Amino acid sequence: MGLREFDYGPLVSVEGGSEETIRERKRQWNELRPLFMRTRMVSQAAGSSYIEAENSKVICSVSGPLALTGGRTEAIERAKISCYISRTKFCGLEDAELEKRATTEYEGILCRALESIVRVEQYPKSTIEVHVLVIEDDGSTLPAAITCACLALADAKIELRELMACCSVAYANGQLLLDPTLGEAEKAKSPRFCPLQQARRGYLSLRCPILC
Amino acid sequence: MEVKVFERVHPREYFNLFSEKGIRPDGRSLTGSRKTAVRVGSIRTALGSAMVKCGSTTMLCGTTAKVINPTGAKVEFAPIDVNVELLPLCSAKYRPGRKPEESYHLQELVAQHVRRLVQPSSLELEFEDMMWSLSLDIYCLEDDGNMDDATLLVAMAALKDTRLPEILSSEEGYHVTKSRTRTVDFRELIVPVSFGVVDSRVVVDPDSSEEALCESKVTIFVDEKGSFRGLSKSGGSVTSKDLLSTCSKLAVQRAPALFSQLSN
Repeated sequence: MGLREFDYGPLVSVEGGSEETIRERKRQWNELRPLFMRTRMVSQAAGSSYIEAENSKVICSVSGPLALTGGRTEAIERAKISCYISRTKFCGLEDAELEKRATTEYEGILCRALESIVRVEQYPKSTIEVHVLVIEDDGSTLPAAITCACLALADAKIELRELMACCSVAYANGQLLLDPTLGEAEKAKSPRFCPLQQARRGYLSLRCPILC
Repeated sequence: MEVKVFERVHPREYFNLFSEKGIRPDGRSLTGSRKTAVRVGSIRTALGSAMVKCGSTTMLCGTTAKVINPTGAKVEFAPIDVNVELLPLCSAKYRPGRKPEESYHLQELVAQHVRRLVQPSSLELEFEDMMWSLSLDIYCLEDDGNMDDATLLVAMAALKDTRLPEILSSEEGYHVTKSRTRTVDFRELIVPVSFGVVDSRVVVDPDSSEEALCESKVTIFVDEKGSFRGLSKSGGSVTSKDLLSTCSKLAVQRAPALFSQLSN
């Protein structure tokens, strides 16, 4: 368990308070956590994928291209990408307000990132829906969601310009930490970076600071 | 006409070509079930968790707990809240926005079931007027039919895996221990076995394409001793007593496999 303890309601408090020392990072500053990635997780969806980075688990499914409904007039020559990010109630984040704010912002980031790699002009008058579920959150779930969404789009055979991978970096105690866990990201007092990198062409977008 | 096109355009005729010979399109017999697997404890941020895969149908459940002051007389049923989320992630049937009706049906089904099975005394605390209240959050990761069975199994498995901390009293108030060893006790375990009735033929464990063709759905509840404990059939076509007793017999045959999965 990271910083966040289980919350048992207002009637009881956690023994010894809620401060907990962060476990010493066992890997190098520039080492990723052990990764597991798989596509075809949801056979009913057009495309789907799953990423697990030690304790962060994210699943994504893509539907589309679907016909655009309603009398929309804007952007008919290009596909519209809609992203929805949900979290399980037990994913590890407690503050409901923080979750709500961050989710809308994350959906926007995800949409913009995907719009630049999907060949939207190949799918006029349609919409592509990307649904992400964060099952367990131990830091770097937005980068995992972006990578997962890209894999799911590829699995759905939607035309992409190239593949995209994403990773975050935290700056804590004068030290850069790649792929920070929730505890490490909390400790980072300085702005955090979240570079998105395309396979060959270089950086797609950089954000600093970001709530990761 | 190509097979896939025929399946899309005439699903009932397609299914009948198989069921007349006693098998189904995915190769099972009419009374065969899909492989069911139960895995517990994979989510460390939940007090208890379980995942059930019944063929492709995948349900995930996590439990959280709060200490409450129950009002009123002695609690007859265990205080367990259930929330079932059917996100668009799991099937094209569900659209973003309003919660689908099926999720309310599953919530009620699970709540009625587990509140009766869990011993309320296992959630009571020795301090007066305090008790554990559990919340089950169930997420469907894929809907390929027969969600009722999978949802009930995942709820029971997650509750069995739940470990609660102890509560100690001091002058500052009540606080919980870091270690969690307290389990949730069941009066007994009862599993559901669901059937679909397609053109008066009973199929065990229908998948999503078969569910769409069903004229009615029957669920039989069986306990560990193999006794019939309950039946659920809402609406659908008129079924005979013989059909219901066939379902009972098939359910009693299927139940031991489900119990062995739950106890692992």
